[in-house]
Amino acid sequence: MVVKIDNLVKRYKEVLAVDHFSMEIKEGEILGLLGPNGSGKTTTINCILALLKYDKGTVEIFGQEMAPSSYNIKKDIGVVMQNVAVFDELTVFENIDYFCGLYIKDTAKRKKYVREAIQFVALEGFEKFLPKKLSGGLLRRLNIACGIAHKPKLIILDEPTVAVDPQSRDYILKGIQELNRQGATIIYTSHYMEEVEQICTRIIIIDKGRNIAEGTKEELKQMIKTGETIRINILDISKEHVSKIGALPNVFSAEYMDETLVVHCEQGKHNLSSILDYLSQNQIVYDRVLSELPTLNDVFLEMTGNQLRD
Amino acid sequence: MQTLKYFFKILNYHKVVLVIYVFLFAMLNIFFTEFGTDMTEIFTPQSLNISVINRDDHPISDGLEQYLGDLHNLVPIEDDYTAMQDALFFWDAVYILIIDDGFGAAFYNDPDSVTLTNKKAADAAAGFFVDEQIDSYLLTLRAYLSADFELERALTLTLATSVQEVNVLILETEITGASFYFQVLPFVLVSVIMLALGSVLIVYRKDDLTRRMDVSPTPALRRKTQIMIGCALCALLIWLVFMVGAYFLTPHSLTGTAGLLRILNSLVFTVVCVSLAFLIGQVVKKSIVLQALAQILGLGMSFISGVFMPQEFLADSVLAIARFTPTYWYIRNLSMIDAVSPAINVDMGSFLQNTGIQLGFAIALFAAALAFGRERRAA
Amino acid sequence: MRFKYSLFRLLRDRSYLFFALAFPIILSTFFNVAFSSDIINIFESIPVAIVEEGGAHPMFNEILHELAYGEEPLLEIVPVTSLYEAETLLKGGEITGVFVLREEIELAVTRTGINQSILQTISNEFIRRSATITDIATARPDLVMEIVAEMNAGIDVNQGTGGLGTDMIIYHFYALLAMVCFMGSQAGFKVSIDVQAGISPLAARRSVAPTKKMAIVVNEFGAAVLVHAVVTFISVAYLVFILGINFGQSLPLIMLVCLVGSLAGISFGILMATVLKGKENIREATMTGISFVFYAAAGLFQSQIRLTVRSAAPILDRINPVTLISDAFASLVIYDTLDRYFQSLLILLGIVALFLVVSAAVLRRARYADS
Repeated sequence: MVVKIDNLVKRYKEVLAVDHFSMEIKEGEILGLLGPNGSGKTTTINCILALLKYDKGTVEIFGQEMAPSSYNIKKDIGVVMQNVAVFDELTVFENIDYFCGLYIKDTAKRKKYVREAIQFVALEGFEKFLPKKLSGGLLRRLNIACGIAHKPKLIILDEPTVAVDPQSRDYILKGIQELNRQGATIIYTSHYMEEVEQICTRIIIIDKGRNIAEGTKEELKQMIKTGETIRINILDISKEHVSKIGALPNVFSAEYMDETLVVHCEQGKHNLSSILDYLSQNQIVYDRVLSELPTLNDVFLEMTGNQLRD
Repeated sequence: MQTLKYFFKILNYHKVVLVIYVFLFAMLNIFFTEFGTDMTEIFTPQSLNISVINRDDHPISDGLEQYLGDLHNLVPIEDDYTAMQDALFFWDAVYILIIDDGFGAAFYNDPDSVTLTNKKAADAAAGFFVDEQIDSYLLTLRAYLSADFELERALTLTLATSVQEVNVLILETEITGASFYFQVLPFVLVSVIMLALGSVLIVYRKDDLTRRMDVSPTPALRRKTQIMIGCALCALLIWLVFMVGAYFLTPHSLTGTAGLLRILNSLVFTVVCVSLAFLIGQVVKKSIVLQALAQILGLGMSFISGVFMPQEFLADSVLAIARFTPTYWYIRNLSMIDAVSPAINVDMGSFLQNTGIQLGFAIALFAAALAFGRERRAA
Repeated sequence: MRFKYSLFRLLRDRSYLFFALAFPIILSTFFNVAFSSDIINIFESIPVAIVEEGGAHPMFNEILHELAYGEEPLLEIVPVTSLYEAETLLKGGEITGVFVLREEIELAVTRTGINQSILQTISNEFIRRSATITDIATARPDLVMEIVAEMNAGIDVNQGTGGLGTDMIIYHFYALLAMVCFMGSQAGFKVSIDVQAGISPLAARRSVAPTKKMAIVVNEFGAAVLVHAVVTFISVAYLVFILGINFGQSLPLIMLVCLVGSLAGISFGILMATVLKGKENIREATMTGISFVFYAAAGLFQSQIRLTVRSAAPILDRINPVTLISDAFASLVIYDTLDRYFQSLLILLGIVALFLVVSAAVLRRARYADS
């Protein structure tokens, strides 16, 4: 067990930011901590890192209790913060070197690690650049490099792809998977569900400081009613037909909006065909057909009644 | 020593700002030294700029005017209310004596029946002395007149008497080591060190930088100590600049044991300034706050401790509060050093004690700075 | 509408408000405390020694002993047996002066200073009176006793009508107030920075909006002046009502100075941020440094400095905005007419106009984010 959190509680005056939150992370996982803004993701992370004093509960990392002075634990943790936290006055190389130097004292080893980190985030050629000369995506990459250069065993990334261009985002995600392949356990918080779906091995959904659901993405999707969402472009269809479709077996809702028929179905093999059959039988002309498996947004929506803000 | 090495890089990035602060405050220091005063001369009889508005035409009035003219510098002013207010307001004349028409004759007949009026600028000391001089003259004149001396003779004798002086022997030459430069130095040092170092320390307060450093296995104590060393070295450099300035402006204050003690005293004070700047650097995030704090602390501490107005002139209650500032103890030491002469030595016991108190401030401030960060983190 | 938002921005900037208010209040309290002592503050008895070296001046000796007698005597006579001993004590700092009675009276000291002046005055008074009495005794011995009594009774001819009637100390408060007004330069600085696109992202955003830069500046400027003037006025209120400093009777006139003074400070800040080149903190540092020179030349630290500047560099004194603000405050108390008052304010407004015109010219020319 790399990380074990048990019944964590953190109160800010009257607000309960973290509400009896528990989770366990095994070695080699990429754990996604998914929740909307204000759900307590960052607060939980800060508690894990002993940056905040919490009111109740325990936090164990690598089997030992985590405290501000747990320096032997800290040297194997890498953090990439939500805000870009680099020195404006230092170059790319200097920034990475400085932060890596807080972990690795051996100069030769550190130099090697810094070079590797620069390569890893593809900032070669930018070593002597000052942060103000870097674009948003490059800055994020620098931010990441500063957090992982010392090759930590546990890496915590707090919304690392905010305001990042698609190429950089893709690059970052692949990089994280590579780090995982190299042996790091990863905690990845985000409110971008596609990213979480893409790389996380296991997901915990957090809302209002509580652990609402956890599991792999398949497991999560199993937890909700919606098994499939079918969207069909139809120019014209009567309300009667819509409600009849809504009454078909396995269907639990059907709506018609903006020339699109949206049908939510439970899990089943024949949902699409039964709907298309109905349409054909009633000579209703249709156009594009789209069948989607539920997304994590659907999971979240059902569990909390709120949207994951995308 | 990573943190220290990078502290210097960050310092280097901001070097222009630092140079500007040091330069401007050095200019200010020169300004003070050239134009300021240590206020000892104020209460010694000296030639002032005064005016006599003589509306009368009588030997007695002329005699008084002449007497004052011999002692002081008479500044001609129009006999006009506004002109007089102006002269006083702008300190063109610090004292205006108005002799009304008919004064002389009236005084001759009955000295107790007549009055003179005067206006003083807002300078209590000057007014005090000139009042005394006029009273003395008239008192003497009245005495001669009462003894039935004839007017012209009375005037001559009065003048002759009034300029008699006791023979004053000054056994030693003025203590030439003392210099206003060192007296105003604490104000300059506190301001420039707080502003210069503060502007660098503020960099570390940005956003998540502190958090990132706090999650690392390098303890805060080690990091902060290195930053403190960096600050100390920088301040040392600044101090050297001001010592060089002293060498050019007031070389005589650097000679002998007294000179060495002055240098030592200022060095110790610089250490205190560094600790103060370091503590402020833990607290402040915005530049405007830093500016304001530097000004409040710089001015406040200096005024109550006797930097601009000597400690002798400050009330005991003020000095009681001032004792809680390091500036007070610096000035105490400086006063002792300034009193040095071939026969008077510095009381080394007191000197070391005052120095110790200053260092005590430094240690306390530094400890507070280290503790402060920890408090904030846990919150 | 924009003015309203500019106002909100300033009022919500808590650190600015806190320091704009706290600073003058704290500092003026310090001033008040520091200056609450009497200048002519006599203190302990002055230690002296009397040595007879060939001359005898019994009367003088007697007078000195009289001064050393009583509850809080002016002098403290330290007994010595020889001139050498007296001189040693003098050089050692244990006594302030030695009266050496030769044929003439002599006073030996080691330096000039208040106490030494007092000893000098005592001696001079004695010498002069003796001379006078000697003359009179020679000419009219019958009148001597009467005249001595008359002299001892003192004279009360010279009666002041005041003139300014205020302490030099008060100038420090006026200068302090002037400094507070002038600290509006911080706010003015921000106003200018926030329209320079190369420096501030907010400014960049504004540059692409279809609004003239000038319109933005005017709004921000107006808000800054209003807020700062009010803040200054609150400081004045503190000084008047809590510390009891005299600022004259006329409220509107005082407010006018606060307003014009704040204008001066703010426009100085705008000027500095606009005309100087380089990083923001470089400009800020320069502005602070120059401000300090203004404060010093206005007599904030020592009134003497202002005096000296006035004689050495009168032009600086006439156009130093901090001095002008300080004078405007002072003239309300000192003069019966408002000539000086309006004169100071007019020159100030002229300076404000100059600052603003130059700043406007530079701002207008800067079209691109990197100019």
